This record gives sequence, structure tokens and C-alpha cells, in this order.
Amino acid sequence: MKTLIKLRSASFLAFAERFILLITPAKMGIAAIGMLVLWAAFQSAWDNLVLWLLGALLGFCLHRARFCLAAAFRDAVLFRDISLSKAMIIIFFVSTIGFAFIQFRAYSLGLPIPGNIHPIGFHTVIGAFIFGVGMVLAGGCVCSMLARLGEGYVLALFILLGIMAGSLAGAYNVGWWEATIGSIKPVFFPDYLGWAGGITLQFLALGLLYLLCARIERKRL
Amino acid sequence: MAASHFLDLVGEICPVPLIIIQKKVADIEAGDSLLIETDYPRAVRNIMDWCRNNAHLYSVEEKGKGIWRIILIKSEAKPF
Repeated sequence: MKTLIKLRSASFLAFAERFILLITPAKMGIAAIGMLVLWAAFQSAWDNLVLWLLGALLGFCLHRARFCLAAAFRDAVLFRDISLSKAMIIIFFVSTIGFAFIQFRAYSLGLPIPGNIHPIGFHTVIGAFIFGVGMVLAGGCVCSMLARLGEGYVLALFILLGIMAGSLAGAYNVGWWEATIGSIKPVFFPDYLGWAGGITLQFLALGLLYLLCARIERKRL
Repeated sequence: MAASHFLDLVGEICPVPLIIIQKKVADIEAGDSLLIETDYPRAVRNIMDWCRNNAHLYSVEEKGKGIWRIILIKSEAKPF
């Protein structure tokens, strides 16, 4: 009797295993995309579908490139490896052009200017320091942590909990922050230098940083 | 006779793997090989870049799901 049960459970496990082995990441991905397309068709929420696809593509690039904002700063200091720092400067170049278009369009239509235009001050320095320490201790920034979580790296789950706790605390106290810091007028370059001047200054600063990186790289070799 | 060494870095997060490897490689003789196992994907890229910059020979293979095995042979060149 005992052996019979044993045999049965073993064959059941083998049976289940055959089905589990049929599930591959590619098949799961195709199933997820299929379900989303169906959902979008039912809700006629095609905008969301496009956004989701863009997000998925960005995530794929992030994962494949092993892009890591923490490494862009940390490796430059620790290992004098600045390939990622250079990549980040290029990202700023591209996004400056894109955002200049978006913001100038809103400005010329008389709409409020989109983007994170916030006041700077000593709080920026303190916040950046705390964020930097957390980022290096966690082994990556928020986006590479999400990519790692998607990969199945369990530690990232705990980091995600930390990010959620911090974001919740920030959102809960956002009124106090706005009352304290929000009264300072933000520095928005186009207000002072005009649009062309602001963009030129940004390009000059980025170009100088890039040249500095290239110099460090040449020195090492 | 070239010796072979092993480093188990599974569970270490960036930047710890490369720091440990740098120390280990400084200790071993030129021509020695070092076998490294890590599960941190960004560290794999860091190690590859570092090897290329310091002219160490290396090869990378994914041993299992999420574990990479890197074999490194220390070069004669002086580290920077």
C-alpha cells in the first residue's frame, strides 16, 4: 500500500513537472501581452497599452544594458571606470533636446511648463547625500533595482519595500515640505537667460563634463 | 606552474565583488587563473570592463539561472 502511494505521488510529481517545464519566460511574456491587448480592446484604453509597451521596451533596454545610475557615480570614484558616467551625460544631452521641445511648446501655447522645476538650496545637497548613501548601500538606483526584481533577484524585493516606505513617508509629509521649501522661487534657466541661452549653457556644462570624463579615461590608459 | 584560485561571491552586491577581486588579483602571480562565481549582474559587467582595462584574459559563462562563472587569467602588465 505504502509503495503504491509513493509511486502515485512520484508519478504525479513527474506529471506536474512536465507541465511546469512547458512554461517558459517567452511564453509567459506572450501571454501577458495577449491579455493586455484584450484588456485594452475591452476598455478601449489604447493610450495605456502604448505607454505600457514603451515602458516594457525601456525596461528591456535597462535590463540588457545592465544600466545602473548608482554605478555611474560609484564606479567612477571607486574603480575609475567612467563608461557609465559618459552614458549618463549622453542621456542628459538627449533629454535636454526632448524636454526643450516639450517645454517650449507649452510655453508658447501659454500652458504651465511641464517638468520637475523645483527650488534648489541646502536641502538639495542634504537630500542628494542621503539618497546617494542609500543607493550605494542598496547596490543600485530605483530603476535598476526594479529591473533586478523583474529578473528574480529576491534582495530587490526588500529594497522595494524600503523605497515604498520612504515614498509613503514623503507623500504623507508633502504638505510640510511644500510649505517650507515651496516658498523659495525655483531657478529656471529660460527665465534668466532666454530659451537659447539656457539650452546653450546646459550643453556647455554637459560638454565640459564629458571632456573631463574622456580625459580621465585617457590618463588611465 | 600556474596556480588556480577560486572566489565565491554569490550574495555579494556591487561594488563588493570587484573590490574583493582587485585584492585577490593583486595577491596572485601573473599567469595564475582565478575562478569567480557571482549572482550580481552588474558586477559581471564591472569585472569584464576591469579585466579589459587591465589586460587580464577572461571568459564569462552563465552557469545556472542567475549565476555567472568568470575565469580570469592575470596578465603580466602592471596594474594602474
